[in-house]
Amino acid sequence: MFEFRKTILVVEDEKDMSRVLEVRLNGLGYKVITAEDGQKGLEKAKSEKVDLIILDLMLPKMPGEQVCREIRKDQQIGDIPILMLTAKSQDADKIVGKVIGANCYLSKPFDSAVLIEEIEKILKPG
Amino acid sequence: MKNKINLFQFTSELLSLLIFISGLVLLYGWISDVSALKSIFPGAVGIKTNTTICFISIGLGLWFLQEKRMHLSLARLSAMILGSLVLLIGFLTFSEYVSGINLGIDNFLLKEPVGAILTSSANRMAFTSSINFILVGSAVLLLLQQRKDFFCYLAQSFAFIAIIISLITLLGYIYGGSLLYLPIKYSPVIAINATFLFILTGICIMFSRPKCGFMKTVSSEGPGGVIMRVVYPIAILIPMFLGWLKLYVEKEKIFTNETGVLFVAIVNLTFISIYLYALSRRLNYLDIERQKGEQAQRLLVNIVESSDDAIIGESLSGTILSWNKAAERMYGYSFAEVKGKNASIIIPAHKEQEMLELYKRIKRGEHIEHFETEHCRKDGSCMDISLSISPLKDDRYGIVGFSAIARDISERKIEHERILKDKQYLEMLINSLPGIFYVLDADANILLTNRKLSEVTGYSMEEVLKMKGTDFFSEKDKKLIEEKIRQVFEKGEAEVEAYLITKAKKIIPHYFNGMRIVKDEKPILVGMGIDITERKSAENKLKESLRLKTDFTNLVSHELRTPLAAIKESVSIVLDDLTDPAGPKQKELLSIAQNNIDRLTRLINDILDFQKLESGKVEFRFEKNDLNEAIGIAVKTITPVAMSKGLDIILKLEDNLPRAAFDPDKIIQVLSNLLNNSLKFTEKGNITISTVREGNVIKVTVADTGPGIKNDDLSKLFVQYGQLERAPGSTGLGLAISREIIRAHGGKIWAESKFGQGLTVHFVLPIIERRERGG
Repeated sequence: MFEFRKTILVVEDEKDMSRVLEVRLNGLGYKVITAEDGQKGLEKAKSEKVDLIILDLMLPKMPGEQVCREIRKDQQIGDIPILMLTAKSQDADKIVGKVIGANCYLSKPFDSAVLIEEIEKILKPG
Repeated sequence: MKNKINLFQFTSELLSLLIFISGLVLLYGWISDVSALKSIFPGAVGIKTNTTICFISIGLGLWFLQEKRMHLSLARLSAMILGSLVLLIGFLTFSEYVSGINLGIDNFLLKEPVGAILTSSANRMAFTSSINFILVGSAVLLLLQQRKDFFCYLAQSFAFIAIIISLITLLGYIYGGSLLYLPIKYSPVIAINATFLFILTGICIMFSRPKCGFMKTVSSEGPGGVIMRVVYPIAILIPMFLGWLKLYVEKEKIFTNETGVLFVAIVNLTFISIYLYALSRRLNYLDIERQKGEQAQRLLVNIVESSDDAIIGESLSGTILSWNKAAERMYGYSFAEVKGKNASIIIPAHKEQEMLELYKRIKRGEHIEHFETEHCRKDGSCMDISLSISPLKDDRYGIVGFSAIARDISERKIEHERILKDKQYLEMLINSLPGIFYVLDADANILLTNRKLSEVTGYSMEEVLKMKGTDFFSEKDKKLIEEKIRQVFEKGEAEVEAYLITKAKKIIPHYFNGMRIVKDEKPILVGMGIDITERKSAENKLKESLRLKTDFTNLVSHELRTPLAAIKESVSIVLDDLTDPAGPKQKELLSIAQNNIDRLTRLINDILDFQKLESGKVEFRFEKNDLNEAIGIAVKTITPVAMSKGLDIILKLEDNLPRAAFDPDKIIQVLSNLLNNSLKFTEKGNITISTVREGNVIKVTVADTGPGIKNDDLSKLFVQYGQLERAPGSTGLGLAISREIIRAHGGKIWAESKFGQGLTVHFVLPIIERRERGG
């Protein structure tokens, strides 16, 4: 295969949500890797070549917040953009800002159009 | 009256001493042989040794016999011995005269030189002297028998006879004769000095007992006493003097016998006239005094009779002597019925012992005042009375009875008992109150409280009453309470919640209130403290349940989001034809699903928003912003929908509006809510948005041409869950959220409407920064 497609890692414990996102992103032409908990998400972010991580905040084993921080600390993968997804509507500032280090934040349920817009903003700058 | 008695007794005592001393002097005269002392005149009869001894004894005896010494048994004994001695000497001498036997008692002490005149045997006293000594010695012994008046009469009679016998001698000396012719055997002549001493002795005996025998009359206050004291001495002395004068003038041959009689008659007449006149005056005066006295007494009787209190006179033994009208009314007995009866007829059996005690006290001279006891009426019924008893004193006999003043206090007692019952009732009420009752003064001293305070705090009632109202609190609460007490006294009332600290250091939350009332012209604080432990715990439970509700809502809302997101995205993917293309019918149905997912999402968001606003968890970012700009943003989002419905959006915005401090996101949310509301309900016409500066505020108005709402429903408009009519896509929380946001800005939101003519909503925001949360 010609690997010119961008790869998006979806870290989401809800299998339905994960699957829906995979379908949507595939439709948009992205390669999608999934992880069902924070720990696996972190491992995959390190082992695979990832262009964007869509990270759920509430995750088993390692919360999304920590995953985000671990990634930002890591020199190899520290600059991978992270799009945070959460059912929690508060603390948007903390998540997006320097505290955690996510690039943007969408609260569930999100609008498909907004999601696509944000992804494209990150992956196709200019 | 007392003075006269005293004067008699004083004179008597003086005389006794005089006799005693004279006796001593005469004895000295005998021992040192001074004839001037023995016989006064040369050639006159001389006094005998035994006579002097007898006078010494009788003088001393009479001194001991004085009434004021009668309580001393030694004095009584001395008087008896001395009196007996005199009686013995007198009797022995008398026996010598009668029997002719010389008992040798006459020269027992000293021998008389031979040749004494008018003396039967050497140094033997006169026959009359011996009789006199028997009389006065007996009188002394008789007077020692106190009590009986009869002895008094007898003793005074003896003394009188002794005086008469002495007077005969004395007059013999004065007139020069008569008795000197009696047979020498009886040597009847008493020495002149002895004659005087006998008279004085007689007087001394008389005067020593002015309150008994004949002297009773002499010393009395009545006219009889006056006659005896004033007339008697003169009546004796004048004839004696006149007799001497007559003899004298006849002897000197100044007058003849006939003229002498005439002279005596004239002088006597003159003296007696003057004297009787003076006496009559005196008696008349006394009679007037007596009448006055009687008048005063009648007045006194009237007072007693008209008294409302029963006044009863009783003898020492309790015999009823007087009984006034009030007593007749009170006890139901007439005076005739009780006269001479014992007062015990009105005393109930169980009070008799008590009365006997009282009698004892009265006999000691005590006054008894307002003694509460019981008396019974003729009909057997009894009443409570207040009794005052005073001893009745007589000058002569001391306490002779007593007067009792009795007042019926049954009613007073009933009243007293009623007051006592009322007090007990009040105490019972106060003690049965569910809380702590207290009355405090301005310094927080506890004036009155109920048992509850003692029960709750564990301090005894005695301890509690010594404590201040503020002593039951921590330092912090104490200041608060002091402040509230001040408030009560200044403003009339106050209330406070504080923690009561018990003796065992347990802390109990209480609610206290206080009202100012006035008692005895002084303001005091009355109030109650109520244990609010249960209320506090209920409050805590409520808080807890509210927190649980919030937690639950949060949880539910969050948990709903993830499945909603999955559904929404799934539907969206199908609609976007990312999968196999769907038919138009499928797409229509999927659109319906999508709309409802959106609605559900809004509902969840609104619930969370409102909850956060309501619990104050939302942080506002107040910045100086242009309100017109915010309106522009809000209007932009609804314009497409308005256009599709064919509605006009009219903007009437004031130029150069001052900037206000607000959170733009939140105010845009409010504007969107209002605009969306209008959009939903308005089918034709327009939506007008205007801004205007009014004083310190900017007023924003959103008006539509929709159906409007009824006046009654206006108040429900901003209430949470208060949606009046189900509108598609509305959560019913929009206006409630808007109200919370405007309040948080220190503004105000309200609506006005005419039914059928659209709805107008206004809100104002302050221009100058005012961040305090409203409501």
